[in-house]
Amino acid sequence: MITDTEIDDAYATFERLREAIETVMVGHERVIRAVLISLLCRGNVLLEGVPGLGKTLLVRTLAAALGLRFSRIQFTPDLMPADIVGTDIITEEDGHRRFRFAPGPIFANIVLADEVNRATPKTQSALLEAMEERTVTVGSNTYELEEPYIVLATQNPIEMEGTYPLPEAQVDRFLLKANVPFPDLDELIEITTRNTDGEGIVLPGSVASAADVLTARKVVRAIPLAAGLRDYIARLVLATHPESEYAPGRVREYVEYGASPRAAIAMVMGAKAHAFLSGEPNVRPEDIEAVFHPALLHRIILNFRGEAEGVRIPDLLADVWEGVPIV
Amino acid sequence: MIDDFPGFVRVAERRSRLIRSGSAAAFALLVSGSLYFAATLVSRAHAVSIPPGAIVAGAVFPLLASGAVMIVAFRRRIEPAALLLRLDLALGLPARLSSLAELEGGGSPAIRRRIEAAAAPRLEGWKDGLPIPKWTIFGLAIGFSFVVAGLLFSIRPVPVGTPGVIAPITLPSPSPPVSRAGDETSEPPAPPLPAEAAAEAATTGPEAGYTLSDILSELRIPIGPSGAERPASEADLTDLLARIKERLAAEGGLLTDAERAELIAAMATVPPPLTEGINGILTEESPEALGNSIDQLLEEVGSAAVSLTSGGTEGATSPSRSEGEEEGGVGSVGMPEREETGGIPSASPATNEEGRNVPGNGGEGEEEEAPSPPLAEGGTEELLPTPVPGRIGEEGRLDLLLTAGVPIEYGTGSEGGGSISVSFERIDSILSERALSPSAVEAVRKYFETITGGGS
Repeated sequence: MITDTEIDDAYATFERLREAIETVMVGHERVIRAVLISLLCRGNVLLEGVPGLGKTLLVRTLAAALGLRFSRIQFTPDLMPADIVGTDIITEEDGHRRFRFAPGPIFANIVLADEVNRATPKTQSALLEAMEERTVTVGSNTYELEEPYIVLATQNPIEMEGTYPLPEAQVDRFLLKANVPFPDLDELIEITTRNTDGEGIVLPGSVASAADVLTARKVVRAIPLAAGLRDYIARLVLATHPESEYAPGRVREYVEYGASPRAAIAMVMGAKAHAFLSGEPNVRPEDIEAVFHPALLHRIILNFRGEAEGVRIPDLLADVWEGVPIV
Repeated sequence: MIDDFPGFVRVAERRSRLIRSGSAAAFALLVSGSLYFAATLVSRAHAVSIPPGAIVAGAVFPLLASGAVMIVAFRRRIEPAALLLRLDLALGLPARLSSLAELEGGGSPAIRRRIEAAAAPRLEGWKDGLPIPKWTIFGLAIGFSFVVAGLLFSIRPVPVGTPGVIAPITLPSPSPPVSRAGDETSEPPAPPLPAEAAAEAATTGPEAGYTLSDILSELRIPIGPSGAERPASEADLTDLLARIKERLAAEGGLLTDAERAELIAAMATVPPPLTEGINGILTEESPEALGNSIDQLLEEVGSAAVSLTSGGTEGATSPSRSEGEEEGGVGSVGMPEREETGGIPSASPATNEEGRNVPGNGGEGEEEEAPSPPLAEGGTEELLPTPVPGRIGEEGRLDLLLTAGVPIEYGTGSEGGGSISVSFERIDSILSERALSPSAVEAVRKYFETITGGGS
């Protein structure tokens, strides 16, 4: 049973965490919020944006603020699965040779899979088990990953040559997808100031612990979601399916596959986490709205006509949002 | 209220069901009331007489229907989750109440307290979140207005001069005896007879005062102090027959179309016994038979004039009451008694023979009392007073003043008196039955148009 103290501590912890991140990051509130939501929901985030927008800095800052282990994997076409998950190596101890598992970079609390779409599907799929099951299997041995665990993968939407688009099964395992926007004028000036004046960027000290994150996750799960809003979320997800009675016209016309049940779970959990980060004791309709796009953006697949006509998925989601009433 | 959240949900649900049932009732009343109103308008436009029972039933039906719909709508359960979310949205509460409902089955008390604390300030006026829709009140008012308006339309008689409407002739139930002083045609017009006054009083309102005198005026038949002053119809018929006889003697042959038309027109202004004779003339196909029929009719015209003159005088000087009138309390002096018919008077003159008092025919109607047909002195008959069994309630016999030759239809007015409507359709059907020539039919149609002022 959650106590008042736990709730208050959890709210306070994440408020401190957000402030710590904002001392380093300029702008990107939505991205930061998406990362924190994923952390609270035991999920993973797909960040999409051009290089140099601070994606890696965000992940490093988060790890520093939480005092958690951080690892970064630069995905390249020649990256092998063993390079990620680790491998058994022969060691000699006391005159005996035996295999010893050398964990790969995936064994951390916060993993940054940079430009994940540059690796081959085989290597990409090496992330699947870790992302979903929080375990890594090498040979006949399965290793538990330490909680909290979160994978933040980045994609460069511009350089598509020589890339391997993520398979749908893998994309679906990301709780949220966040587009990292280019900073505006004021933000850009602030970025240059922080990076060039004085000592430059200084990562924050630890303001929370892994235990604090786990406690906050308990609080998030205890936040109630009204049955009417749960029904609303279900209808929103169904409305992304072209054959659904709730689907708006353009979804019927341009969508091949709609969002999976994981999308509904992501919306429910994401809405709860968003309510928690907002200091609210229950899920509100605005919490659902906040996670609607991040939870569904990467889960809708256009058909050939939609691709050919350059239909934008955010536009389709706007239709869905407008077409489905709360009650 | 928030301390007893299940109780709050029950109260909110009950209020919501009441509002929903009220809206459903308003819709039902609006629809059924408008239908009732439309039905009354249509029936009024087509001069359909509606029995009082049907009027009441028609007015009660929308109320019953809306009541039934209200009950059904109230009994249907409302999903509390949807209701609370709707209430949340209406009160500007960010899903607080609906979230509290989720915690009813268990949950963190700490979170529950926080939600209650956040919701409490807005719960004072929670009923504002479930307001009675304006359109419900509006719909109920409009629907009820439809019912009342329909009721009023049904009760009020059809106004005179309404296009396509046949003006009803309101008949007084307790008709006093109509004097048949046929020799008083030269007297100046006197105040209306009691019969006329009663007829006017029998109408329901001043604008609805379409009395017998009005109708007769429409028919261009003057009413004298005695109630039936005689125009010179028999004299005209005599002249017409004389002219036809003269022409036949000179030229031979049969009737011309013009003569036929004149005879048909004359049928409407003479007493029924004479119409039979005219009818016989119209159907003769040989010159000899035609001549005989004309001679016979001329004799009948003469004898009828004598009989009516004596009868009218008698009726004026010593009014007598028939046995049936005394029993039924309905006075009818100088009117032929229709005995033991027990039925409704026929709509056509031909079927009124039993009740007519034709001089010299020795019919049963003469046995009890044989007042002469009401003919004015030197005039032709326009009115044929005929006592008939009452058709409305137990009022006994009624005295009808029928205009010979004009088919009648009995209405079923809601007032104390009955009503008679004259329709061309009825005339047309009679003409069809008689297989008259087109020219004759045309003459009758023109005549009908004349007496109805061009209406249908």
